[in-house]
Parts: sequence; structure tokens; C-alpha cells
Amino acid sequence: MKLFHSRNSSMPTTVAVSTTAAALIFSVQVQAQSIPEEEITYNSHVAAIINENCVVCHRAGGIAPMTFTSYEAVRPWAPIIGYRVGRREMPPYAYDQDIGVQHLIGDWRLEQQDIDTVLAWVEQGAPLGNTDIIPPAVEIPSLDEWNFTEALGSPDLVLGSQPIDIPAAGNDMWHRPYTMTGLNDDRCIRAMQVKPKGASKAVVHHANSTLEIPNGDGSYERFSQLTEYAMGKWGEMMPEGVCRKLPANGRIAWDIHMYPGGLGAMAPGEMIEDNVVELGIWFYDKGYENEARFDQDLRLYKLGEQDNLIIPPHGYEMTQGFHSFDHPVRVDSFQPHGHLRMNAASLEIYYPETGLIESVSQVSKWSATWHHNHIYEPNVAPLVPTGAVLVIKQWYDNTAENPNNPDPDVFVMGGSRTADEMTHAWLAMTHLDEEGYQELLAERLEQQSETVASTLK
Amino acid sequence: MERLPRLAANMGATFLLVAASVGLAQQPQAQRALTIYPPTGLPVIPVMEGWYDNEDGSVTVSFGYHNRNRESVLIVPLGENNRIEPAEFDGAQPNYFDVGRHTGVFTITLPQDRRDESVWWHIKTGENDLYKVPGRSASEAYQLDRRPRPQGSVSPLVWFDEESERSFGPDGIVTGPGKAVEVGTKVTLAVHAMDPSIRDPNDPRFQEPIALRANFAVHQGPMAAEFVRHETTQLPEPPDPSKARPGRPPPKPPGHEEVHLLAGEGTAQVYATFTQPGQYLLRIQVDNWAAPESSEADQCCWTNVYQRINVVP
Repeated sequence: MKLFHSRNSSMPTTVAVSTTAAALIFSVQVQAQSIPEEEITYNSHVAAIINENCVVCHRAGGIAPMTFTSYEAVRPWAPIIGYRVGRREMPPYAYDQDIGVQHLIGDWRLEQQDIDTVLAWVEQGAPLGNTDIIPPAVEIPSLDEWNFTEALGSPDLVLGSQPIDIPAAGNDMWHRPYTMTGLNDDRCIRAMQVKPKGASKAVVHHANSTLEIPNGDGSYERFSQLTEYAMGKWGEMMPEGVCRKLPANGRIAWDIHMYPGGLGAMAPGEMIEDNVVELGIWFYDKGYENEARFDQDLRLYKLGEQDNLIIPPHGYEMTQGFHSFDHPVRVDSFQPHGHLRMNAASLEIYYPETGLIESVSQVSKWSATWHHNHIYEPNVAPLVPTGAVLVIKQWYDNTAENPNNPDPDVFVMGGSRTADEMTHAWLAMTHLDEEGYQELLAERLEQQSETVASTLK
Repeated sequence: MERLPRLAANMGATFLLVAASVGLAQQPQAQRALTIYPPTGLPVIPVMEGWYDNEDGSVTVSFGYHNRNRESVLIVPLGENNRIEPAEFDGAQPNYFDVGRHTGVFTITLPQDRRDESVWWHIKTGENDLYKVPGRSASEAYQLDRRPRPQGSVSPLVWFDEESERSFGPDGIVTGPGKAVEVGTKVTLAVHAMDPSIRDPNDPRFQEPIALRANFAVHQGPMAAEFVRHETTQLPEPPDPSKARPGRPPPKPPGHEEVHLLAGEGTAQVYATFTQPGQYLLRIQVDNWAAPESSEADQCCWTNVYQRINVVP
């Protein structure tokens, strides 16, 4: 798995498109549709792609149902690999190509060139190739490894929930314990990952953590949303220059939604004892909190009232929400949220002064088994001027065509259970002032000029 | 003492919801709902909440409904426009539909040898299309259980008198009818309830008892009943207006049909008056949704009981 991978960072052709008030800069990739003419073999070409992108899940004990750690293990699955890789269903990072911002952190999508290589290999009969060529060794991190360890080391703080047994079947459960942070100083968070331990990955539907601080009379009051986890989420990263604050002496109020029996390929179908959800936190250095100019937060943004959400049997639904701010903001990440009937989402910006709408992100094949948090690279993260409107849309499919649908004959109601539906999105937002906004805008324009100049050379 | 007919409940038309909201975020200032619904004329949506796998091999299916009208209570007589099929399972469903979402108002139990069958609840309201929903155990996603929740919550125990069976969960006991009641006469209704949930005494949330809430409602009947607070009933705390949901009107104070048992146990009493003669079936739903891991949306924890009343001219 590529960590901190920026999609197409090595792609040769990138065209920056100026947008309204230069508030948002999109990148449009010109995809290389190269079809290799040489013989494509596992040892020379494909093993490296699979090892780097697939083996992290497709290995003994991994969350995928089959292993891809050798040619012998991969070869029987070659046609299916070709089918799913060609449709960009694997690796499982649903995010539309060529629409909106494409430079993402933690992006699992394959380069088109790699897809073409895999497809050509399958087309040619999936040969092993020269046995004297040794594919690059597979470096498999521990299943319990934190996603950011390679880049940031071990977490500075690990906070666990109280253990709880999760039965093999039955009603969804919500575990709401507290955990003291034990932190004596205010700190700014650099990264966070929520990690259900062991087999719990398949039964922990979400794990929200709210930060509470003492209010002086022995009780606690809400400070902020700390982070959010939903099945398949990679983690959160906070860009430099902003502070996502973890104040001293706080406690975490967990809201852990569990789905007995599990969801997805690794659903255990048996009792899981002592389930614990851990939160790993990496901090910026001490003193950074005095340098960070702007605050960042993570909030839930509604798309209408969930209580009003009703999806008819064998029918569809679409919801949308509009949110604007009394100050400029930068959208740092976008994570749609829904359950088994939700199948698509998008984020747009509407500029009332011009009437223009810009697409920021679109996810046409959204799935509840992979709640990706799309983290925009800081230099292309959408800058939203005061008064512009974020338009969030989500789509639902309650027909038998939806492979995740447990029963297309029922009315689906807004609710908390996995079988019910939700309609909101999580957005991490840097809250700017006008001066800061103008500075970032100027940086973008300068960067855009350099890109155009470079292209013309 | 009896149980409601332990029986159980696709739809033919599309149904469109345009759910939208406008928010001025950061200080989530006034959200303005763009949703436009007429106050009346909308249908009742039949809902299958889920199913319980019983120890004897039978399956109990829980049903609720959503009356989407903001103002009009609907009465849909049992029959062609409000029926359950197969017909032997018909009769447990309400004919009186208060406004809004009502979770788990009745159940139907399929015996072991029929546990894999579906029962269908059909409702047609006014000129709206006929809606129907299946009750069945086909999907694990809809499986429910009666086990304690992570912080200990289980459904309250509810009973009518010391000799009566204790009801636990949505599939409640039925009592009555007792002596006939005359139209316009005030009658006292009472249920006893206690919360058997075992919670961590060291958890600050459980230093005080979790209040129970009893809600009295017409389940079946020819007309609405008027509920009046009983003098033994403590007035519930009015809702905090600062906690009003964006885009929604401030929450209404609890009506007289709602009784809070702050000690987590006790007797919930109200007066009821009927303006039309006929056979009534009242539903009393007792919940502990004040507990942190118990809520309507979580499908736990409440108990239904039902009381038949024969109202004469």
C-alpha cells in the first residue's frame, strides 16, 4: 500500500484550469492509454504492481478473501483481477477520474499505466515470465500496524475504548464509553487514525470521538469533534500551518456503532470478545500551537433532515445539503456518509455572485464497506470565499440492482442502524480570515502561472 | 390476559422525497429547510423495523409506521385499505395513525414451521397509492435481539396489576376490556413499570436513575381519545429551546399523554375521555430512551402493552 501517495504525481501532463476568482484549481489529467507491445509477465511487470497495491489486504490474515503473495496464488484469479482492476473497482478507492480535484493524499487508485499493464498481462494469458527475474520483495506491515507509522513513526498517544464482546448476530449496538486523554498541555494534531483491533474491523461500523473538557464544576462539556471513523477509513492528516487542537485534561466520549455478524468479506460470523477500538494520535511539535495561524475542525454537514429520509421499495432517492460560511474556508477533506443503499456522492461549490457551480469531488461508485476520507493536497484544496455555498449531494439505490441491498422490498427509513440510512458528510475545514484567504489565493495564482509557463516551454 | 394476535405485515408506486437544507456553517446559524410538504394528504408509510429470532424457533417481526402529514391524524379502518396478508395474521396493526414516525408499535410472530414466510402489511390512505411492506427474517441486517445494550440498557418491564404478566419488549400483553365506559366519562389508565437494566454505578451518567417515559396512544378505535394529566403525575421538564434542531420548530412540551417516571420505576397514570362509542385498543409504550445507548433509532429499548376499552353511548 502506498502511503501518502499523491495520485499522478509523476504524470507528465497536467493542465491547471483557472476557475472563478481562482478560488479553486482543478487538475485535469491526460491519461496515458499506453498498451504495451512487449510481453507482460508477472515477474517483470505485474508482481511489483500487485505487491505494492494489493498484498496489504490480500495476504494471510488480511481483510481480503484470497491471498496474492505469489504467482501461484495470483494466477487463478487473473481474469477477475483484470475485470475489477479494469473497472477501477480494485484497489477499492472509489473516486471519479477527471472530475474535480484529483490530487489526493492517501489515494489508492492505480495509475492508468499500471492498469494497462495488468490488463495486457491478463490478455496475454497471465504468464509468469523469466524465472531468473526475482520480483521485488513484498514488504507486508503487521496487521496491527498504524497506517502512518512509515511516515510519522509510532503514534504519540494511543487511546483505547473499553473492551466489549460483540455477538455473532443480532441488533446493531452502540457503545458509548469515556476515555481520559491524560494530556497535560494543549497540542496540535498532525494525524489521527482510528483502528478497531483484530477481527473487530468487520463489525465496527463507525467510531466517532467527541472531545470534552472539564467545565470547573466536576462535569465536562463538549469541546469539538475529535475525529470520525467508518469502516475502511484510512485516517486523517492535518496540513501544516493549521491547528486541530487537542486541549489538555480532556476526555473522549466514544460513540462506537457495531454491527454483529459483520459486513464485507472479512465478516467473522462469530462472537468477538474484548473488542477494543484504538485512536492513534500524532502531534506536531510542542510550540507549533503558537505558530499555527488558523484552526481546523471536522464537522458533520447534513443533507436535509435524516428523519425525513424515506427510500421507497425498488426506488431511488437523492438528498442535498447547502452550507455557507461567514468567513473564507479551505476544504481539507471530504467524506460522504451513508449505509447500504447509498451508492454515490458529490461535492460542489456554488458562487452566488456569478451563478457558477464547480465540481470538487464525485464518487459514482460509493460503497459502505470503504468510507474513504478524500484528503486534498494542500496546494489544491478548494478555497471557498465568504458566502460561496458548498453543495453536497448523495444518491441512494433501494433496488435489487444494488449488490449491498439487504431487502429491496422494504421502505428504508432514516435511522442509525446499518440497515437504515443516513445522509451527511464529514468535512475537515480550515477557517481562514480574508487576509489569509487572499494570501493563499495569490500563492495559487503564482503556482498556476508557473505551471502554464512550464507547459509552454 | 392475552397477547395481540401473534401474527404479523412492496410497494406499487414511487415516492419522492426532496430532502434539502441550507446552512450557514461554522456557527451553524439558521438552517432553512427547503423541504416543502403539504400539511395534509400525504400517505402513511408502513415500516418493518426488524425481526427477533426466538428461542422456540419462531420469529417475531416488529412493525412501525410514519404518518408524513404534519397536521392530520389518520384513521384507516382495518380491511381492504389496512390489512395484513396472509389473513390469519391480520388484526394486530393500528388503524389510528398519529403524525410522525412511530417505531415498533406492534409485532407478529411466525411459528417455527413458518418462520421463513413473509407477512405483508398493506396500507392505502386517501387517494394515495397502496403501500405494502414485508415482515420476514430474510436479512440479517434487520435482525434484532433482546440482549442488554453495551451500557446495560434493556427494555423496561411493564404490567397492569400484580397478578398480570410482565411485558418485556415490543410484543406486549393485552388487558381488558373491563367494565364498559360511557362516552364523555373520564377513566383512569394506569400501568406499572420498572427498568431492570444493570448499569455501571461508577459511570457518572448513572449516578441518578434513568427516567422511564410512558406514552399513551390510541392503537385501534373509531376516534381519538383525549388524555389529561393525572394529579399524581409529575409535570415533565419542558424541552430546552436552545436544543431546537436547525430548520425545525422548537420542540413541543410533552403532551398529557406522556408520563415521565423520573425514578426509573413507578406507576404511570393518565385520564382518558372518549367522544365516540366503540371498541378501543390503547397502546402504552414505555421506554428508557434517556439512557445513552437506548433510542428509537437504535431499535432499543421499549415495551408495549395494550388495553382494550369498550366505550358505550
